[in-house]
Amino acid sequence: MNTTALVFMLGAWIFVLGLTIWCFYRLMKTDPANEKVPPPGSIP
Amino acid sequence: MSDKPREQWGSRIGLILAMAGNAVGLGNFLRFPRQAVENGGGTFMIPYFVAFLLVGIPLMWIEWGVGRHGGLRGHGSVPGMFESLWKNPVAKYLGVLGIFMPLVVLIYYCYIESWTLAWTFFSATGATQGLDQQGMRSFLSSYQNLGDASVHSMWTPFLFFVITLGINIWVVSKGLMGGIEKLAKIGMPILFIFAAILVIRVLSLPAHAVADAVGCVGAAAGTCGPADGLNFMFTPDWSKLGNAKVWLAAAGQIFFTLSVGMGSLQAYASYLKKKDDMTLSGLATCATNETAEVVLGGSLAIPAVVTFFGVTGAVAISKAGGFDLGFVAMPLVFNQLPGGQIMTVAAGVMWFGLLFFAGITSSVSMATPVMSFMEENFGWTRKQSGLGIGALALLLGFLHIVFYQGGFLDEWDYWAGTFGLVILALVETILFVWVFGPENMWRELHEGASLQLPRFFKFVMTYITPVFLLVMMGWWTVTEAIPTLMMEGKPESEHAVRWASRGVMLGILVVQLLLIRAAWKRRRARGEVVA
Repeated sequence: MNTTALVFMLGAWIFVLGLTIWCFYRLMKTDPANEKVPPPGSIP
Repeated sequence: MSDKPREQWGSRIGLILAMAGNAVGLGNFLRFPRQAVENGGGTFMIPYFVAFLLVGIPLMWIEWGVGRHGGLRGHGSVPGMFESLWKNPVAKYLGVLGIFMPLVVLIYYCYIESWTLAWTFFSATGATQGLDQQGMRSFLSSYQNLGDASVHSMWTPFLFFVITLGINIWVVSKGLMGGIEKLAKIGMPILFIFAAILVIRVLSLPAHAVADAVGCVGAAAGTCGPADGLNFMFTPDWSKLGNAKVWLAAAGQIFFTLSVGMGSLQAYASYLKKKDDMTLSGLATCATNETAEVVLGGSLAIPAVVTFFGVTGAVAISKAGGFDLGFVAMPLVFNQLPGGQIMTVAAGVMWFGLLFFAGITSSVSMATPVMSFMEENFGWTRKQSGLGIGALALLLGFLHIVFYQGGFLDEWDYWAGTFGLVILALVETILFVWVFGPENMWRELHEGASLQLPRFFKFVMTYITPVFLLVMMGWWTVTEAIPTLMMEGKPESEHAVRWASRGVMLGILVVQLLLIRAAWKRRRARGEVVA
């Protein structure tokens, strides 16, 4: 595979895969289902 | 508006998979590779990603915003959503596009989707094994042309269409969580797994002797390999970068691939709760679609076809259209895969299976706006609206099967599936950004948001996206819509069928306008405040 084609392909792949992974990482971090609820009685 | 409580998504991942399923369609695997090779290869990726940032992602957010805003006010389809943004009697009639286009596209899309189901069956039973290029093309044309019973009985396409439509109606009748969300949670992982296995298989193929190896690294030895296909896909042709056509082709591809301007994303978003995130989830939907398109779609058909037919052969196949690429060239590739009959069957089932899942996760979304419209305005149950839309699709779908060769489907695909999308996107952008107001739009998008958007996107959505859409519409009107309307280059023998096709479309549009009028009359009679 020639270098220019490789650069373009990898650039495109890294952009979309990077964006997808970042989005899902952020989604998991902010998913309300993953929120840690403080134990009952710990909030005055 | 119905008094029944609206359904809601069961989980955020279910919502994103359903939205991404809506976006990922046949075009990701058949249209994108052709567009890339015809518009400068690697250079195409530059306008493609520019359009993704300036049109694709902003429109995705706009459609989520329009949908949730309308949904919270009890509207699951665009006529009501537009009225909730613009208190003007005209708004609801402009919104007819948001129930017209998904219905029209659903009908012919189900027919194309039924081909993928049929070819999954043919692959599994070995019906396409041993055929040469001519044989494979006859196999497809006999299926498409009812008058040609050389391979298939004339009932075969009807049978697969009825089965496909039946599955679609069954899924949508099960409701949002029990049908659409469940399908997305099963179908999307299968699609990605099948595509990933095929990509690994295609990219690990050894070089193969071809009749014309010009343009391949192994040209001296008369061989081509998958790397030559990737070279062909991604080598930049800098002369194309200054070409306006390439930029508009890239914007068009982004438009189709994300399924914006259809009315279905808004319908899905109408089931969001007030504090549900839209910014990050919308972006995740776009990113998932792009992974399916650029990484998987870009590494499948073209590298496989170049390996077995060379660059020259791939150009000829690509020029013959996406269906030739998917339904003629790919089965020929599978027939030649190392590994014998088992590999041929497995690859064929996976290829057409993934196309089927890509198709059905999109088609069920197209049924949703019309079903919501009937349920909310005329008190239909989910089952009644499912059966109603199924009966209509069955009746009109038969016209597509019978008159496919006369250009019946082409007309619907152009006016509703291509040109109409830009019109709806432009209208909704103007209403959501300009009429509703940029500040309201920005606040609406950030209600419950997990991601604060850079203010740059507010500027983009306010000025750049509408201008981009206006330019696209103007360009397409001059270069495509007028020649298509005048039937330039179409044989005289097709004119009657094409006019009949337009007549049926127009009939659907008029009936839907009358239904909107009747629905708003009923709402007024119930004492609801309407524009």
